[in-house]
Amino acid sequence: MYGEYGPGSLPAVTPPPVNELANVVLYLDSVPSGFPVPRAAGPAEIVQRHETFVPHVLAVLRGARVEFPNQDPIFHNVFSLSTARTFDLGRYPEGTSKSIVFDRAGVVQVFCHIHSDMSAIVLVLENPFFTTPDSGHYVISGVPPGDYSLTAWHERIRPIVNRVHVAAGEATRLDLDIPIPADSSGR
Amino acid sequence: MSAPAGTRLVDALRRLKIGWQLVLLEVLLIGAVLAGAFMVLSFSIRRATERFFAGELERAEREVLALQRHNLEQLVWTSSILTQNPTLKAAIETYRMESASTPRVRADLLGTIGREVDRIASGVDRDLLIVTDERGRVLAASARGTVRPQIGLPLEPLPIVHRALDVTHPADPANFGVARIGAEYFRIAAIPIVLQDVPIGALILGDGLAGLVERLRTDLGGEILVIDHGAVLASTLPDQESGAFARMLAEKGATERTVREGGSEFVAAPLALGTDANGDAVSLYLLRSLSAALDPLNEALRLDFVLYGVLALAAAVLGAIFVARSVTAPLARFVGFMEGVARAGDYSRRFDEGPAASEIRTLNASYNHLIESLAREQHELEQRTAELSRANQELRQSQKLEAIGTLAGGVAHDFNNILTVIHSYTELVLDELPAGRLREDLEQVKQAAVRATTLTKQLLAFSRKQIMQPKVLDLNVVVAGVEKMLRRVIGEDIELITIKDPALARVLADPGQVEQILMNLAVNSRDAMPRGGRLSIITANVTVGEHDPGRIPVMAPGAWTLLTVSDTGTGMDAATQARIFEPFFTTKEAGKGTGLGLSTVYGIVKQSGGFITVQSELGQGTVFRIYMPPVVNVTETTDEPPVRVHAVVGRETILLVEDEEPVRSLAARSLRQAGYVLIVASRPSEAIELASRHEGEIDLLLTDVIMPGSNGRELARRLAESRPGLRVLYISGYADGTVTQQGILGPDIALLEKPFTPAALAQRVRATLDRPARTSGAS
Repeated sequence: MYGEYGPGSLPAVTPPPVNELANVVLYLDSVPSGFPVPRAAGPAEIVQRHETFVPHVLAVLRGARVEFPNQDPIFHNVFSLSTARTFDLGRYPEGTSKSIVFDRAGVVQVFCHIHSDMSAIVLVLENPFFTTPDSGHYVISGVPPGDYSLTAWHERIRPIVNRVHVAAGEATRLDLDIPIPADSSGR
Repeated sequence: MSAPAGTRLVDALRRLKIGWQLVLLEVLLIGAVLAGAFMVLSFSIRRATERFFAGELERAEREVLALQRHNLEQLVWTSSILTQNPTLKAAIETYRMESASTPRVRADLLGTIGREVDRIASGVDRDLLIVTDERGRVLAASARGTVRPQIGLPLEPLPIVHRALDVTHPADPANFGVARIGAEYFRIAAIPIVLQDVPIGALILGDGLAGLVERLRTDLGGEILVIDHGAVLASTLPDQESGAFARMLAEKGATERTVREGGSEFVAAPLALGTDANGDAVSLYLLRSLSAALDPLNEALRLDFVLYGVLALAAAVLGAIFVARSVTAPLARFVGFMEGVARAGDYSRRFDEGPAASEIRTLNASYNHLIESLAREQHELEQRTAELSRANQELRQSQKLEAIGTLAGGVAHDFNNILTVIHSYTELVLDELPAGRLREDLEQVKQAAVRATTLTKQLLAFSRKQIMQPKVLDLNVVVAGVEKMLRRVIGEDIELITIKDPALARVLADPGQVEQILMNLAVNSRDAMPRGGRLSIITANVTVGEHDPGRIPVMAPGAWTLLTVSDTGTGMDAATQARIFEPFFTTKEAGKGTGLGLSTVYGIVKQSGGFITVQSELGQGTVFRIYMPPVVNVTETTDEPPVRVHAVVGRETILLVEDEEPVRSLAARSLRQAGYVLIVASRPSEAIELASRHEGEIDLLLTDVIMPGSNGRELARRLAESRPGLRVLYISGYADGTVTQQGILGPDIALLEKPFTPAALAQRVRATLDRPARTSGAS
């Protein structure tokens, strides 16, 4: 994690299975309000391919629109029963895409009404200071100096919260140990 | 104490009538046989039933196992349907996620899950369908009965739920278990609900045990019992019985094939139903009631046996009575008959029971046999008694003849000495007397002496003191030899027939004596046939049986040589027949017969070891039968070589020993005249003394046989000791056993019969001296 104003340190993460790290989201809570929120870069999307949602976990800033393009030669029916965003996109064929705007923070579990084993999670966050430690390393940049709590989220574990102090102009390093359940590998 | 009592009982039983014994025996036998058959039969039925039940249970076990497999398949299938229910899974997963992060319960999600569960349950034939979350807490449940587990109820403690939530285990029979939910027991199966390889919950399907056992009973029959640690979870049996069963099975273990409880017996087959809340095995027992199957059978069997037993007993009693009758009735008749025989003493009566049991007939036959042999023995006794009295008579007769013979023999002995003297002196005088009246008178004396000599000889013959020289001879030859002479004797009016057995056995006899027999009998027959007739002489081999009526009692049974002389003359009455062999008994007018003819015949036959019988009938004729013992081993008797006598004179020295003075001096005188040197002794002792004093040769011992003090034979033996090779000539009036064996002269012994004439003496002396020397002259 590198402070926007200081040199960051290279964080080290005890590597869980690599692909599972892609399903981990690291985000900062309690960012003071009124802080300028940068716009999310580019449209977010979860592709339906080979009867699987890719990616499985997608973190977006509140208000973001997420596309659900169907790249399988069969119908899919994307829906969610989650409190944060309940929706049902209905059936649509290959080559088409439907999208939805997530304007409320929270965990939105996405399923397919036709294929019961397909699932994805859209993690709707309040600020843009989040990332995914795919490679075992992470950097959250541009964080204003202050005291935060860094939450490590994974669907099978309780969120891990660490207090972190970010000083201006210097990188703050925080090593995390994320105990991802072994049986969730292969996702 | 009990043994004598038992013996008494057995004795008492033995004394019972045969009929009662038979009835008792048959009752016991039939009872024993029926009881035995009943036991054997009921045992085999029991074995067969057990085997049948065991087979049936095995089949049932297989069926139940198949059912279980089917259940498992259904479970897997059901779960896959459930797993593929996107709404349910989305609801479960969303509910899980949200209830983990927020305290607010999403009732809408639970409702969705419940609705889906109900929908699925309606298509699955199960008493209970539960969906839990990943931690085993009830999310939704559908139940047919009153039991419906509450939402949130933790089922994870159940081992199978725990196991199901561990996705690494495959679905197999271990996914089955028994659980108490509410107040009911269920057989449950649990499998995981998986979302992208992660268990997000479990599906539990359950069947109420009560319903399960009822269904199994309907399908398989028998009784079903589910037991967990001695506690009955479900049963088709009454509570009390199943409780007792459970306790017993808990004690004995599940290995017993046949279990007994109170009055009931069951064949049991245990099946594992799964594990209970503690992970312990719950067993389901398939039971077949042996008692229920066997009791009616045994009851029917007992009834049949009692029925047939009674019938068999009735038949047996009737049979026993019949058999007893068939034994006792003939026995009673038989006893009556025997008493009758015993009273009457009539052995000719026979008992005939007619158709009766073979034992009775055997008894009948052996009784008749006994009576027959009794009768036969009585008859034999009578016969033997008659024979004995006949033998007695015969014995008396022969004793009489013996006595007469002894008397006659004694007289004849003395007569011989006297006649020797008369003879010798008459001859000496005649030698010197010129012809004239005196000489004629003396001739008369001499003839009378000759007649007297003949008479004496006959007397000796009768008294069996005649000296005989027996040979093995063929009677046929003797008969043939005398035939011509006999014809002359009997005259022309009488026909002579001889029938000779060509295979006739030889006899040992003196041929001259046999000729004499034939002659005497022929003369008798001739006299009995003054007007002519027929005289038959027949020889034959006969075998005399023990019971032949003609047998003389003292005669040994066996082979005999028979000489029969029969005539067709006047015959004799019984009184005459009884006396004919007595000497001097004659029926002829005085002067015509001596009365010694048949006596002589009798004596000769007796002396030869034979028997003579007479059979006569007045006016019919007379038959004499002479039985001679046949000679078995024919040894040729060689005739002594004839001694040629050249002269009756000699110069040898003779030792003369004779106690009768007239005979002694007569012999001495005639021998001296012939030129011999004589040493004369009157007693044997004197002879020994004289011989020992005489220094010269003694060529001949001439000695009387019977002398006082010693005898001629003994004297010869003693003299032979000092003078071996001494020749001996005996002089004797009759055979007395000293030099002869029953009158039979030994081959080495020279004997001169009294009375003798001086000429005969001189001739015999010379012959003896001239005989070739023998190795032992005295023996």
